[in-house]
This record gives sequence, C-alpha cells and structure tokens, in this order.
Amino acid sequence: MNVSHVPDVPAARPDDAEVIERSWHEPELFAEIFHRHFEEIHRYVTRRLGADTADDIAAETFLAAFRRRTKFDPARGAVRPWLYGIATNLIGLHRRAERRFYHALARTPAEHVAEGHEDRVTSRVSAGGVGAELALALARLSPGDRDVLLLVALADLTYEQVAEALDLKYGTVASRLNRARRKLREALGGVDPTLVVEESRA
Amino acid sequence: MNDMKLVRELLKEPPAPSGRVTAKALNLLEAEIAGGGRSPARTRRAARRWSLGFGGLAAAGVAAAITLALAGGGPATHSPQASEPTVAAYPGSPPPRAAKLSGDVRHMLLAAATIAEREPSATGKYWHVAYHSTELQTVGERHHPYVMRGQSRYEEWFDSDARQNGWELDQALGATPATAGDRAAWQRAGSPSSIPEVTSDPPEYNPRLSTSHGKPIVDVIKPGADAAGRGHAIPMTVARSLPVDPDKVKAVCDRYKETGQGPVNGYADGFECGVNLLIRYPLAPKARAGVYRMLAALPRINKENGVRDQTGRPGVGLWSDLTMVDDTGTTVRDRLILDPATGRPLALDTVVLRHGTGAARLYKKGIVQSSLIIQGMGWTNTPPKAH
Repeated sequence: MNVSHVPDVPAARPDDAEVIERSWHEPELFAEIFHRHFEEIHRYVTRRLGADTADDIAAETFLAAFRRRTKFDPARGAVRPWLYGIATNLIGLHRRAERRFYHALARTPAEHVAEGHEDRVTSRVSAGGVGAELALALARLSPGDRDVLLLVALADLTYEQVAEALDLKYGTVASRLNRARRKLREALGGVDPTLVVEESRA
Repeated sequence: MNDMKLVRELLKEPPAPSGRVTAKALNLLEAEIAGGGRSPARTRRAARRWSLGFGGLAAAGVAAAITLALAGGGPATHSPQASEPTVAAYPGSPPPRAAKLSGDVRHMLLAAATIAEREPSATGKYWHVAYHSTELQTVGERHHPYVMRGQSRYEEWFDSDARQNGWELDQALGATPATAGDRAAWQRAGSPSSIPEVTSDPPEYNPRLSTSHGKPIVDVIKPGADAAGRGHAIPMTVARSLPVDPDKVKAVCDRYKETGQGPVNGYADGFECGVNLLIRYPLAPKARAGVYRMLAALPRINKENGVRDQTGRPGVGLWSDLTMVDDTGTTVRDRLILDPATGRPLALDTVVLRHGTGAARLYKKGIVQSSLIIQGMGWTNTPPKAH
C-alpha cells in the first residue's frame, strides 16, 4: 500500500495522468491514485472541516474522482489540482459545517481543539493571539473567495492550478485572492498594502 | 504580518489519517471500482451501500458527515433522511389562547413573557428546530440583472444528552423570480433552470443558482459545537439552564458574545442575542419568559403592526436600531416577527434599508433580502427517522 509519497520516482512509475487514462479500461488501476494522494487530500479537508467530517469527505473525493475519471483531461492540467477541485466542491456542500468549525476554532482558548475520535487529538495554537479574529474572518468570507484563499494557502497550488481546480479564469483567481486577503487583514486590524503582492505566484 | 502564514498556522497541519480511516476509504473505493464502470445497476447499489454505511455509523454515535446520495432511502436507523416531513411541535400544547398583544413594545413583550411562562414544560429526547429560509440573489446578465428568491429547508436536531451528536439538514428548494417584473425578465432570458449569479466578479465565473431542488445535505453537529448565531455563541447546555432573571440573561449574552463582530452597542446586542435564543434554543418556560423580559427592558426597540412573514403569516415586527452593511454594500437590519396572539416567534427577516452597489441596486428599500421562517421547534422522543 505504501506505493507513494515520494515525489520524484524515476521512469518505471507511470505518472498520474497515465494511470488515470489506463484506468478507463482497467478500473482497478485507479487505486494507485488513491495511494498517491489520499493522505494529502485528507489533510486539506481536515484543515477546513475538522477531522471527523474530513474522513468521509476525503473518501468521497476519491469515489467522485473515480466516477469522473473519463472526464479528466491531461491537456488541461495535472491530477493533483483536479483532486483538490473535487474535494473543494464537496466541502462546498458543507458550508455550515465549515463555518461552525471556524467558529469553534475562534472560541478555543489558544492551546487546543480536541479533534476526532479514538483519542486522536490535534493540537492547534492560536496564530499569534489573533486566532479568534482570523477564524471568524475566515467564516465570514464568501465561499468562492475562501476556496481560492485556502487552495493557495493550504494546498500550495499556483494561481493557474487553482483556476484549473475550480474552473475559473486566472484573473478571477487573482481578484478573489486579493479580496479574501484584504478582508483577513482588515479583520486583523493591520493594513499593509504591500502584502497583497508579497505571495503572488504567477 | 503575513496573513497567509497566519492562516496556515491557525489551520494547522493535522496528523496523517489513521490506518483505519485510510483502509475504510480504500475499501469504499475498491467496492466502487468492483461495482462501477460495468453496469449502472451495480453502480447504484454501490452508492446505496455507501450511504447506508454512513447512516449506520452516525447511529452508532461515531461522528460522520453524511451526504445523502440515496434516493428511495434505506433503514439508516437514526439519521435524518431526505423524505422526513418538516414537522415539529412548539413546546406546549394546546397553544395558549390569548388576547391580541397590544400596547407599546414593552407591554407587548411583557405580555408575551406572561404567556410563555404559563406554557407547560416539555421534555423529550431530541430538540428539533425546522426552518424555511429565503434569500434574494441578483442573477443574469451583468448589465441587465434581475432578482431570484432562493429557498431552502434547514433543520437541526440536538440530543438531550449533550455528549451525543446532533444533526443538521440543509436542502435547496429551488429559486423562483422575486417579483412579476423579475419573472418577465427571467422568461425573456428563456426561463433558464440554472442562472449565473451577478456579483462583483465577471458573470461567467459566478456560481449558478438553480430553479430545482437540491439533495438534502446532512451533517453531524458534534458535542460542544452546537453554539451558533447572531454574534453570540451560546451552547445548548447553557441555554437549557438559562437564568430566569432578565439581567442575568443579559449577562449570559455578554459572556458568550463573539469577538470580531464589529462595534455593537449593548442594547442592540441584547436584541440580537434575545432573538437568537428565541428562534433556536430549547428554553424552559420561565427562561423563555426571561428572554422576553430582557427584550422588554431594552431601550430603542421599535414595533410595527400588520407585517407578514414570507409565507404570509400575519405578525408584529420588532427591530433595534442596529444596521449592517453586507458584502454588496446593501444596508440592512434584522426584524423579528412575532405571532400577534401568542408572542411566539414566526420569522426573522433581513430588511433592506438602502440599496447596495452594482446589481445590488435592485435591492430596494423595504424589501426582505433574506428570511428565516420558523416551521416548528420542540422536543420529540422520536429520533430523526428514515423513510
């Protein structure tokens, strides 16, 4: 099962897109996509919804991806952003749960949020004492702005990959990200316009 | 200050999923692979198994988010299902007979308090609240937008044992044109069933509003995560032992006020908190009376007779002088609608005071931008059941 998580294995290993294309006729090959990406997708969903909800959404992401595998177009981009897009759309069905998660985070005094079952505890620290304001500001963002912000911040996607993942134009990604960051900075009370361009990855 | 870094720190990298979680997800995928891609019938069965599996888990008390994919349903024992009727009795029956509440705001609220505290105490296994919600949305062409009213069903169930999970159900019920003029605009556009929303983004990138019903989305509400709403995060357990004294109710409101909600004066704050308690929480009769008395003691609460909620029920409107500006630049305020005979809450409207910018110019003064309409709230011994 531990096939992956090593980014650059040489030649012998077919790349993601090739695996998906072959899975059109040999569906069981799709399990390879799961092995390569489940952990990463699970982490992303956990950071937005909390551990318990994440277990199901992450699983559902791969079911949905499998069902849509013939719609994946290698010409349009890589598998990773495609999976993030599916996960993000599934998270979008749980907006109230996501907002509730951020509100719970805002109420958590600095040290911890007990997460998950079976004694699995995730420790969270408040972001330099501004955690509550930041969590509430995240909850208040429009869902579209929040999706873009968190794909850049958490999934480390480039603007182009976010555009692929969410089926948006590049310019829309940029404008949504700017608006989201402006709102966060306003909520945090510090206004430094230079930050807008600081993390641009074009 | 680097905001992106702060976000990453706040939403801290979690540990990797456990072997059990990974194995379960892989099993589901392998079942799908084994059944999928060959015959549609087998795919449907796989989807059904999936839904039932999560229903069962939720019933067993394991936290799970459930996307109800099944049509036709199955015997998931304790999780709410798509076809469950939206019914819940308000605590106390038969409804008390009362003269029409009259007089000024204060007298009316004090009379509502008297009625509330005479209601019999109700108990049950689950506290259930059911709402119908409406929200206006500007849609269509950027330069020729019109307005659709989106509708949805929203329900919550909370176990009387605060250590148990609760559930929420959210289902889009389809959008309809807001006015006759909007209907004409919609028909001119070819009566589309899926229409791009108009926001400050270019139209082709906006989300779309649908005229048809969506799937019911059910999420688990974990123990301790049941506080919500209107800037005051009051947990269910606190509400269930809410003090009776109006000053102490106000103190509870102040204690659970959320930070970062902007400057709000004390009495408008009290109004928002009291409204939230009345429309969502399981309050004992005397505590409910205490909330009405707290509202009665607030200055600058206004009253308007002869209003109707969005489903046409007649009521009395109450509002504080708190106004808010939303994302579209529209200035709005909350209006609580009470049943004129009993003082019970019927709905909470967001009313436009001043139109916004861009397409939001269509939100004229006086229209109800969004509304939460109470369909029922009460204790029930019947768990949310499958059909």
